Amino acid sequence: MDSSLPLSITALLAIPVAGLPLAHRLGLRGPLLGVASWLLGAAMLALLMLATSALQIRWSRGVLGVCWLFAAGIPLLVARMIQGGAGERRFTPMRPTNVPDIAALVLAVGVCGLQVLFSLLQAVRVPLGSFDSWSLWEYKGRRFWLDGGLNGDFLRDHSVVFAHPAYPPLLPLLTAWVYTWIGHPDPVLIKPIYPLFFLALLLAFFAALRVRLGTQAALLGTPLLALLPRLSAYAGTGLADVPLAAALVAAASAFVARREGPVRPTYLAAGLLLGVALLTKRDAAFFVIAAMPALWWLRRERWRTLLWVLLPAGLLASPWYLYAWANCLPDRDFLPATPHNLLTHAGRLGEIGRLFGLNLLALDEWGVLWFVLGALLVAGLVGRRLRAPGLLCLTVVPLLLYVLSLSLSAWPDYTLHVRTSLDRLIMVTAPFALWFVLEQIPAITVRQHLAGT
Amino acid sequence: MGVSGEGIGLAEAIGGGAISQRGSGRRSETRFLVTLAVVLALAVLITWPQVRGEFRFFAPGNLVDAQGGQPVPQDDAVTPALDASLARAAALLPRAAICAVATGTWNRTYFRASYLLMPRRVWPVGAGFADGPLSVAQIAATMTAHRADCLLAAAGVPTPPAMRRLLAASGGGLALYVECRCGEGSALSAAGGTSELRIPSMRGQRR
Repeated sequence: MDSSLPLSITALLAIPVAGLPLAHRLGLRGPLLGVASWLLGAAMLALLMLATSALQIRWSRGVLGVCWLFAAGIPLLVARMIQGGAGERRFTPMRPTNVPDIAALVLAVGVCGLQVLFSLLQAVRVPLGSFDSWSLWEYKGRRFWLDGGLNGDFLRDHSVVFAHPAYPPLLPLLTAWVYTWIGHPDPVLIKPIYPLFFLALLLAFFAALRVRLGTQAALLGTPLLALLPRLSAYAGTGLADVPLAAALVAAASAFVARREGPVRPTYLAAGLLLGVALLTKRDAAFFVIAAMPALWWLRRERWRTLLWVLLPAGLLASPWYLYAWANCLPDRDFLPATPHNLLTHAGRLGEIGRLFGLNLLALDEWGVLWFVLGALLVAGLVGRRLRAPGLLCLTVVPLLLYVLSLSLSAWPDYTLHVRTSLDRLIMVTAPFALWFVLEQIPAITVRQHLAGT
Repeated sequence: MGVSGEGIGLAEAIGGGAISQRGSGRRSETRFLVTLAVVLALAVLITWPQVRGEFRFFAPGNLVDAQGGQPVPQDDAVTPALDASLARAAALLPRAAICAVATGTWNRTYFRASYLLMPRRVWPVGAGFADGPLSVAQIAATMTAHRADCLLAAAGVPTPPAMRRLLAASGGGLALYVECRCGEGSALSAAGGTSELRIPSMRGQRR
């Protein structure tokens, strides 16, 4: 019997097991514990694989096994750090805000389960049809596996610039992780990680809504996210955008979990999950920028909050960015963001903005999400009753930064660059847009207040 | 206990008396079945348009075994003729072969060759991102610079005189050429029938 399937399943299961001790020490409970275990486990293993490459240690099952043991042991160090700051404070498990209605539970589990199952089938059966899925992520994962590590000569080679060597390596490293365990490359056995990221996104979204709006609203809101056509269509295709969205929503979810858990560890968890996002795609930097005003609006805790969230994010992601900087890894998609380039290409902004606007109106991609958001935003501004404006920051600021950055496209036809990427970029902001919409609906928020009394 | 919503929650169903429990249980059951029906209807409505387009991939026997002839079991189908020619080349070339491909750096043909021929290294002939006609001298220089022992080129591309064609180009695919020492039999000439690869870099590098 071929041992590849059980080995690949074991390799995938080992990822959240590696992250579980850290996520637990950070005080996360419930669905967010599972999500953070998966994401933090993936990031820690990726960083340790990067470290072994930097030390010229060739990957083997034994080496990766030691990496796994280290990843599971890192929480001991972090726990000391947390206890040093917060004393002997006991972590209290997050409690459910109310008991769910059975119909809402069936609806949520049924819709989300079917969507995840469909994306799993799609991942396993449908070929890597998107250019980015094979040329960026699988290609590099396969190359890393063949080289037994990150090979500086390969990454610096200008002839492989099409594979974007400078892009963050979380997904290629996870690919190499599985390939090393099974002993040969096989996209069928690695692609199930993408539906798992989709599941993580849904669970993180549920956890955030549950804290903010109650279990009932979370059970009704999460299927709405699962049913977003563009999101479910991309979930199994081997692209990095759904994993990025999962890490960002998990970070936001951990941040709002401070209502129920100890403050400092949950900020630390949010920061680390933001770091996972930075290790997944560079686009996460736009959300870090967007998070700054969102965090600043919090009263009393401004500097401390910024420090506790942004510092861990930077620490987790910096090894890769330092490696890329030290090795001068090539890239060719964008011109440098100099004042001269920005002014020279400012004329593109109108056309790019128009293309983004048109895509937001596409019902077959987003349903009525952006129409409802626009209407509620206008109503909220007129009535001066806008709830959770930070979420608006996490939606609008990245969109504006996408438009600005695409104006610096180095492609011969910049509109082709925009057209081939804008729906994936918008997709990452969609969970925050939906969350913002749900926050504005009075019936939900009133019910939550009643349930809490 | 915070029972949310207008419907009957779990807590109420558990905490009520026997009669009300039976009544509320029946209502819960009805509600459960209605919800289940709605979920199934939604699932069919939502997933059908996606499944319809991708139905062919769900047919049995679609996937090629990872140990089979295809170097990549799952792949896109934008350039099937090119991919098929690369698969044929991969079946003939040793895993440590180094090939030049007669295209520029920013060209889908090169990207596909680089991906589908892994673990073999593939180098583009064209410098930079220009895609003009390539000369024999450029091809020879690239092959010398990277110690390449094979060449992939479309039909009509001139090749250095020391190269012998192992596979012909057909229908948008690439031809495979190898450096040869004609007349000295080898395993590869038995496989390809015409020539022997001169590949000093390949020995002991199989993985």
